[in-house]
Amino acid sequence: MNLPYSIVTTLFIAFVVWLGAYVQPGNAGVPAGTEPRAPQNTAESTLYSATEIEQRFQLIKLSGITAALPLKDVTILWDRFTRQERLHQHLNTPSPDVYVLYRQFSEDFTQARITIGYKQTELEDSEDRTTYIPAGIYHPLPAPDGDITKAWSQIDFNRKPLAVIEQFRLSPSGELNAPKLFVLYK
Amino acid sequence: MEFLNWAFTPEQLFDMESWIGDWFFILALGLFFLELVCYSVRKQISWNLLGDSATNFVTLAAYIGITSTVIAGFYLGVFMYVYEHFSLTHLPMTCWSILACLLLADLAYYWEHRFLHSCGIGWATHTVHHSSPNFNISVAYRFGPLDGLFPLFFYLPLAFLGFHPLMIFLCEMLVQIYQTLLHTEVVKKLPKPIEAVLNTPSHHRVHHATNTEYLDKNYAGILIIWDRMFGTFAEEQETVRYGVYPRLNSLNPVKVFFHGFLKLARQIYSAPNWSYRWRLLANSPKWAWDQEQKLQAADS
Ligand SMILES: [Zn+2]
Repeated sequence: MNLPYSIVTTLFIAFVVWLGAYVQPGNAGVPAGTEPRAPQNTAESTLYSATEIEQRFQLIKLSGITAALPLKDVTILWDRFTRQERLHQHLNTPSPDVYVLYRQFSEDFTQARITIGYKQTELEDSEDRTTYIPAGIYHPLPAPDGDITKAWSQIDFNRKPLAVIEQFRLSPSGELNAPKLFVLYK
Repeated sequence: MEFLNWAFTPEQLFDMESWIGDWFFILALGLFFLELVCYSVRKQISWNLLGDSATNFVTLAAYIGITSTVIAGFYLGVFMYVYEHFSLTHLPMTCWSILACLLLADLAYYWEHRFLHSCGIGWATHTVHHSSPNFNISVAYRFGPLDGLFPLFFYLPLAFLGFHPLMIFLCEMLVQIYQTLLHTEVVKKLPKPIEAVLNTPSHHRVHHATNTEYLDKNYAGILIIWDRMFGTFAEEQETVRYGVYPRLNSLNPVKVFFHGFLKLARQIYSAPNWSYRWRLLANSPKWAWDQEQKLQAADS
């Protein structure tokens, strides 16, 4: 094959392989940069249907603080988070989302690597250590009456969760509202 | 096939890459030691061979020095920038994507390698790798000054396609690792089906040859099918003579590491005009060689 043909063939192969990766099972094919299709914050959607809705976090980057902790000690991390003055000052929105990411669970799911942070797009500058939310198909779990512990109780630990995400809306007065829980199973 | 859907975080990919990279180097050193044992059994070991191998590792250190200080930060930055701002999509970080990425990284390797052989500026750095008269694992670690730069242009399209930069780097490394293992005379020929599809030590010996029928052949990384497809394949038949023309004949690591660029600089300095200078960079090293032969013929 001569050079021009070889190059055209290469481009064709690249396209076919890319298409194969694009249509792989589980890829919803969300274009880059679009926000995850989070359920709308209405009364109706806070009560998720029992069927698992697919929720995909498209490589959200968080800035915040991380520690490996027993799950019951997450309040320690919250205390530290509230003291991150510099981080809060760089917010570019009055009511940002706060994410709590749990991953690298211990065998018995009592410990995890926990990150509390803001989405980098809601921060003015994001020089802090970046934490990525593992990409994948997340299952939302309902938090009746805004009680996130009820959502936690619905996690099927036999299915070995890889990551759990809590999402809150932070009100200008500092309250955490509209809790949502998402879980990524193996 | 469930495993294809396993998802990873960028940190996991990064950890995987460092882990594989580090341990593979240890493994390669072990294999090199075994090769040395083979050579000594066959009484082919010499001070020259050992000196050449030592030189190879010095070029490796120099290459790592340049790449990690000057190129690496810039490299990651460019990839992240393209991935964040210009990519078609963001592909999920699954095994499935890694497989696709690896296939394309291998194809990109083929073209990068072909590029290094087809133009003066590429050859100035890549000639270092080819300048050893020997062929063993240590030669795989014989690098030129800009060997870390040129992959940028060939792997960057993968970031544009939506593969995460860390996934691309992982695949780049896997191709590199596979390539490293090919640098040996100990393995003769592998079973036919393998030789048909995969790159093998036999195919790669041909790539390192100075025999005329073997010149500019077998650029492949993992899959030899690229060479077969694009018409750059040659089968190993007659005995390979390793090295470059003209022979370098030096064990001095500094000389080895810079000889490609030194030669290019000299050629550019003594070039008759600017269009000739440009062609020294863009045309094949064979072209420059032919011009010099013509000049010498005219002089005498
Ligand atoms: Zn080569």
